[in-house]
Amino acid sequence: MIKYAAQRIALSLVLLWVVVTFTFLLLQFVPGDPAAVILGGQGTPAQLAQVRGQLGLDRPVIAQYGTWLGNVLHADLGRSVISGQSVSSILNQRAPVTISLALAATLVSIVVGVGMGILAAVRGGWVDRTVRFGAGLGAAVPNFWLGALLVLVFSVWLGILPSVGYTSLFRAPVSWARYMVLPIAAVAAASVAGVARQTRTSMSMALQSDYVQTLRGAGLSRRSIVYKHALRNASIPIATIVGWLFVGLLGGAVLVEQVFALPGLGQATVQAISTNDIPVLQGLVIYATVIVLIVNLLIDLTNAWLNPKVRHP
Amino acid sequence: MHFRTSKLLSATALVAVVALAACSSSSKSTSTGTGTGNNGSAAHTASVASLTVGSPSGTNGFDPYNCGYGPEQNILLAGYDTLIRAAPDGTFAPSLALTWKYTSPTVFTMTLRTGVTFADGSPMNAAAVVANLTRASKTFAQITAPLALGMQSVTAVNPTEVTITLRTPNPDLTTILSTCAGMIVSPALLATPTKMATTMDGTGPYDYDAGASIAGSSYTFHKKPTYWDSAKFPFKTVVFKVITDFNTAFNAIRSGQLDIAVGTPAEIPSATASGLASVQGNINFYAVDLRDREGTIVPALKDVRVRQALNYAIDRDAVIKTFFEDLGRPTDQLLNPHAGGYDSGVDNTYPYNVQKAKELLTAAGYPNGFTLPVLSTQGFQLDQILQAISGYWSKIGVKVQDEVEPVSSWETQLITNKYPAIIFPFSGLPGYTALDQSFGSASPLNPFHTANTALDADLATAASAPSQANRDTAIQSAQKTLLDQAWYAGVGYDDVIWFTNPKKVTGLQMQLNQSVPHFYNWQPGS
Repeated sequence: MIKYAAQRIALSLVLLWVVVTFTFLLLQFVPGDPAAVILGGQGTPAQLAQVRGQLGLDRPVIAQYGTWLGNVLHADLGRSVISGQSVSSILNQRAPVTISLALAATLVSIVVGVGMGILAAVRGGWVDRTVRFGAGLGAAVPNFWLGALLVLVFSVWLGILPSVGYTSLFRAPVSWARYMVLPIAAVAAASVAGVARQTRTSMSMALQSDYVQTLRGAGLSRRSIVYKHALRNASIPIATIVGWLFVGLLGGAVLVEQVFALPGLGQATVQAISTNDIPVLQGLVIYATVIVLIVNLLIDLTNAWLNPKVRHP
Repeated sequence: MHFRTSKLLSATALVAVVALAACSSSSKSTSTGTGTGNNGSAAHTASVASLTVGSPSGTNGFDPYNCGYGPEQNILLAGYDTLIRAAPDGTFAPSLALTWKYTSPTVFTMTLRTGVTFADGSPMNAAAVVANLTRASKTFAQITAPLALGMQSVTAVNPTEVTITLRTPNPDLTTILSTCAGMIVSPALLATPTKMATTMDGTGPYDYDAGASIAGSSYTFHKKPTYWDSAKFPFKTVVFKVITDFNTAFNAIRSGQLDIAVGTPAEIPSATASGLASVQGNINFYAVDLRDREGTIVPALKDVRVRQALNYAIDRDAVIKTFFEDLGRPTDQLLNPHAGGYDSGVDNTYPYNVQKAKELLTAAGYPNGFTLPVLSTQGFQLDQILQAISGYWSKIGVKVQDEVEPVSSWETQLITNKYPAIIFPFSGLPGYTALDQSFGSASPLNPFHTANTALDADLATAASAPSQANRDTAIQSAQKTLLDQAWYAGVGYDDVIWFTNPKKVTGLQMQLNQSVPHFYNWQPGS
């Protein structure tokens, strides 16, 4: 297990290095003066010269790359050309919003999706049909449309939940939950559908397998068979897709953050694109990559723990 | 799974939602709407602890010279005072400057307020004002352009008196100094320019709370314990929430998350039903500036008949109604009714006439039309309006090549001569500034530097006119020249709407030439 973990960590670091290098090269390949690009086409000659000096654009590309890599390793991602704030501080402020949204949505997706999938697999009949219909609907509805609908119903008509706003989870958990219920519901709907379908299929297969028949013959209780034996084996493919789920939810957060005006990485991405704030965009790419790599690493390790075949192929 | 387990889970979820809702501190607006229109001011029956304002955009940092004429002004007004305050009716009120006057067309003097200090206790005085205006004269930005181009010198006559000497007359200095260009930053902060983007140090009524804010998303301000005009700012805490989506902002104000939000004409019935009040104003004039009037890039534009044809080909009524319903104002006159020099007689210089447009194009030698690149941006509905105009021009054979840029680079491309035409929201500035800033031969917004003798003469007359009546006559003549020569193809004025929760705030009034009701008129609601 340790050897497997070390291999996965090493691979993640290689991937991160590739992304960081690509992000550096992105600016080199942009036509024209990178300083002018960073300043959005504006800036006096003195300001352009200052940016070129800061970026070391008058030095060889290899030297520039070394400086860039060194800065990234020290978490120095430059400064926003719009607000002047350091990119790291911008992303550190906003990351908890998106991560909490994506993680909570993932958790909801797993809990609700697994629950629905088990229900469908065990009960069958109309329950199975209802769950499958609901899963189809959840997968088909765009999350931003669902978000707008939830706002209309719960915030405007019923007035029981807020439509915009955010509080840190660690500062005020209940307040955080109030603000995040609707965004989480909007983001997680499609994922719940996916997890429910996968769980239903996996559980159905597990419940029809020979070992489960043997366990039934041995007189084990239904609860024990379902939760202690079948679910463990059925959870392997579910654990596999959770990593993809989180990445998808991270991307889905962009639109949902606009609907709910959440001050997360998605909102920052939209603003950076619309204002040509390239240092922030570069930082966002690296930041998002790190988040995804960490989450996927955790998923892989969990998968390996659940299934010995993974760590000993 | 046993049914009772699923029932338990459902019950748990329901209880959780109800518990969260019970913790709600916001209340839904009741249906006691006051309808549309100015809501005036209300009695100060209660002091409101906080105010939450929806802003369609954030700031480009806290340097006032990165500010424009948009919502970012109010965010900066929380921390920075301007030298002069613009009142909604177009008059001016003292701020950091108590009195001011032109002693000649090129000399402007101000007497400053005393007893005002910055955060470090240093006084706001003539030296501080000179330091700020000197920086303005060296900073070429949209908001400081008139000072950068026109100011010859600024001197401190004594600790409370400042004199500005202009290179050429400019009768609109009062307006300029009431915008972000007139904001006074602490000299200590001016000395560390790298901090200006992220730090505020001014004499304004509020302190910025960086810990409670997220740049680009929310800006939190707390009222200072002492301020020279405290009564004007009764809210202890003001939060500006950046919400770029109109629908999101509208839902937020209807659900009580915001107290003020920008809106659209289509939302007025729902807003009224929700008990919201509104203020409206025709603020921005939308037009395609046909700036390549020498035909450098597009030879066709050199011929006045071609430019006139482009004007005749647009159905202004239809375009304005599409975007602003019955609340916009179709016109081809750039000056708004409040501006000196306005002449209602020229409001429809080019009535919609496709046949006449075709005849003019044919007479000019372009029977089959031509291609016209136009700089545009997605912001401010500009590109959508350009699409509408393009549809009309296509009927006379003029094909628009839509060059869309992000707002930030669109703003910088405006002063280059890369594009023969741009679509632009000319804000309803005072007459002289509105025309000179956009069409004066030396103006950066006339990058091809095309000149017209009559226009230049009228603008020069307006700049140094001995009286407002003389100035208005000259401006009126300048506007007519612009229309006769078809230097632009105008569509009309928009309708800017702001919704408010009258239980929380009142007193919002549209400024004559700003798209944002200014901060210092807001009072607690009843």
